[in-house]
Amino acid sequence: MPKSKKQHLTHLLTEYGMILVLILLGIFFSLVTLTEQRPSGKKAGLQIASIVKKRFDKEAHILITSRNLAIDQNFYDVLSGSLTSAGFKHIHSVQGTPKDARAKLIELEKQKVKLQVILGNQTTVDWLVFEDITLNFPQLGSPTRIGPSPYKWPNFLKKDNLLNITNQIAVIAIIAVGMTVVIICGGIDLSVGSLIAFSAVLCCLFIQNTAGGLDANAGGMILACIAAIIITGLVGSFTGSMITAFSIPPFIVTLGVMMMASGTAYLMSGGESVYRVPDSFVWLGREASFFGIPNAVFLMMLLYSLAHIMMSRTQLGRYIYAVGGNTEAARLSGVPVKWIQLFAYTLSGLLAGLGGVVMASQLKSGAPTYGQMYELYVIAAVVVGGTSLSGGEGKIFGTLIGAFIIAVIQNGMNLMNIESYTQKVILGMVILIAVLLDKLKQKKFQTS
Amino acid sequence: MLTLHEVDKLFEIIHKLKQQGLGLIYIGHRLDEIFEIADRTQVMRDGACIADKDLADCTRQSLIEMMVGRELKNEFPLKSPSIGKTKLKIRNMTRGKVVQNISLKVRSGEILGLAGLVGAGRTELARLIFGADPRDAGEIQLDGKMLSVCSPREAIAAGIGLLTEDRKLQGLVLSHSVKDNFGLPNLNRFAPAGFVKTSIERSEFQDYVTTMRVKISNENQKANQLSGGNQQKLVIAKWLARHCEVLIFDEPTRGIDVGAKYEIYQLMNDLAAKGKAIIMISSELPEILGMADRILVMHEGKITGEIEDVTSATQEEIMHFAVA
Repeated sequence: MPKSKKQHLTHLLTEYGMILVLILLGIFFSLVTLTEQRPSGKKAGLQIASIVKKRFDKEAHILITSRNLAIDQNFYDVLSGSLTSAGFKHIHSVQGTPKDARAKLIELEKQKVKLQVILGNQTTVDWLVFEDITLNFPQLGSPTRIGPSPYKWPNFLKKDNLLNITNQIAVIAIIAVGMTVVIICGGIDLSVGSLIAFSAVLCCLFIQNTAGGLDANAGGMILACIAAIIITGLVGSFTGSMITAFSIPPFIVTLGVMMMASGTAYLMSGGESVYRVPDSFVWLGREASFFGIPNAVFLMMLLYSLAHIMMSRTQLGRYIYAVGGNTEAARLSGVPVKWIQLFAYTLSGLLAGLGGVVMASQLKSGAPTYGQMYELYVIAAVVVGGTSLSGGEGKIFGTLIGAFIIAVIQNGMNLMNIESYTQKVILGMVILIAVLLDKLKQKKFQTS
Repeated sequence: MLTLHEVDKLFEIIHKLKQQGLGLIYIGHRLDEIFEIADRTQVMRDGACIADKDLADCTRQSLIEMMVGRELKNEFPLKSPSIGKTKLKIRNMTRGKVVQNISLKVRSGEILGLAGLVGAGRTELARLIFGADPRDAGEIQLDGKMLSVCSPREAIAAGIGLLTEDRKLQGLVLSHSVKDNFGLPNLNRFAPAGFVKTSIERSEFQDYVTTMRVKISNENQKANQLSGGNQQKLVIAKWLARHCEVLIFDEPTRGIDVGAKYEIYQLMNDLAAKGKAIIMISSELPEILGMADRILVMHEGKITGEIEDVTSATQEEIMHFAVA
């Protein structure tokens, strides 16, 4: 039966509707955060160098100005390097404050230099000392001032901001993989937020007490992380076995485990942050070792790909969907229902443990206060991503999109200076709308 | 599903409404009911209206023919059973009061009918054999070998399949695609290394759909969009693909129109002809009498009678055992 145009459209909307929402959100926040940008650092250096090369001859006297900042050092190095190699002979420079600049100008005046051009970044080029140069230093001539030229670009779409979004969402997104599997399997896991704190504290305690504290080496830290993840995974197995062996509703079991895990995290840490860990511990959470992608984001992508393959290609994935779709029918078709459920909660525990380790690495410490309310953000990401809370339906990459929608909304509202209380209200509304859309979608399917 | 008592009540109400001058449309596929309360009938098939007649001009036979779209000589297909040696042997099967110390055997090529009133423990017995419920006592032998079946998974692995009486709640994952439903018990074969080989699954699915004439629009159609008959065929297909040696059909034709019923009977006969052992649970006495090679009657968790010679058996005989 060939599909009509309308059916194609509904199919497209139901399969990729959330991507559309994400794109629209991106466009919206790009438009509202469109502001005048000036290049800085290396980019600014290159831009100005090319202007100078075109407009001035090699004999011109040039003054490069910059502050004592790392980004200005970059700017200075690139600009002076580029001009020197282009053959400019008289390059003067000043690094520091306007006071230093005045001193430099006095010095140049004494040397009877006729200055033709002053180069600087967006700040230095506007220094007052250069505005009145013809009045105060008539001997120097009337040099042109060249700074980086402005352009329009949304703050939202700046590379740093986008990386910031992905980095912020990494922990939630990683845990949401496990949550998606649990929810597709027909359950729910409220303990993941507390397990973040549990795992983070555990990991940092291992590093501090057994791997050598501030002098711990990479091997020790990796072992500490793996140990924390495995122990958190075992907590997940405990949850799963309570649910399968005694048929207690997952909501209740995970609520209990949530409180137990949180309490244990406070007990283990004495209620304080565990921070005596080496600087190199932040490798996972803050650094970018592969193609400029932050390591946590890289790990997140890897996990999503693996989970997608598991859910769509393997027997295990098909069993998980079947258990959530109709537990009894699955059991009577030979699906080992209890093992599948046990697997789902163990996976959720392992990934919550990993999320805790990533967060500890991002913040370079482990504290029992981590991850509060995270279970709700994680569930929200899963639901916004189109997974049905009644089980049996959902897609792994839908969850990633759901996580990004939440992150983008939060980030966009931050950029728009919306205060955090209002943000909460709006985020809650977004979740409700997502669920509403899901319901409407299902209705449409049933009637078509 | 209404009980007989409830049906009587319903008809009483319908008659009252009729006397008040109301026009009523009654949709059903139980022909006895139609003859009891209807005056005029419209027969529909494949979404089109086939006939519009006064019921006085119709016979049961002619109605069925219109519904099926071909001349129907018999409600049950002819068969020539060739019964072999014992396939499945159950001894002392017990679970509380619902199933008490039941022993039975089914031979290859045989259709064993399990008759009785609702609540006699037939479904419960089937579930015990299939490992779906824990048993207090009892042993299961397949081809002379003792099985330690404790879960449906083990029963299926041993070669036993169960078509549940409630296909919507127990037989199918309604919100999933027809192909996924078909594949579910067969994933061990389709996914030998854990990864599902979709090409094998798809081609085998297509084979079964074609030979069994399951009406689907495409393999991604949701199972809840199929009619009752096609849903039942889908359930049968998934067990056929599993190559089960013993198949238990629990009310296989409940809620299914006459045409599809006939096809399901034929499938059961084909299976028996291939040497499979079949247990059929049915509350419709004509069906049991028309299909089974041998009949066991249950009452309150016990076997109360056995009818070896089905051809000369009557409904009264079965009822006699069933109410014990």
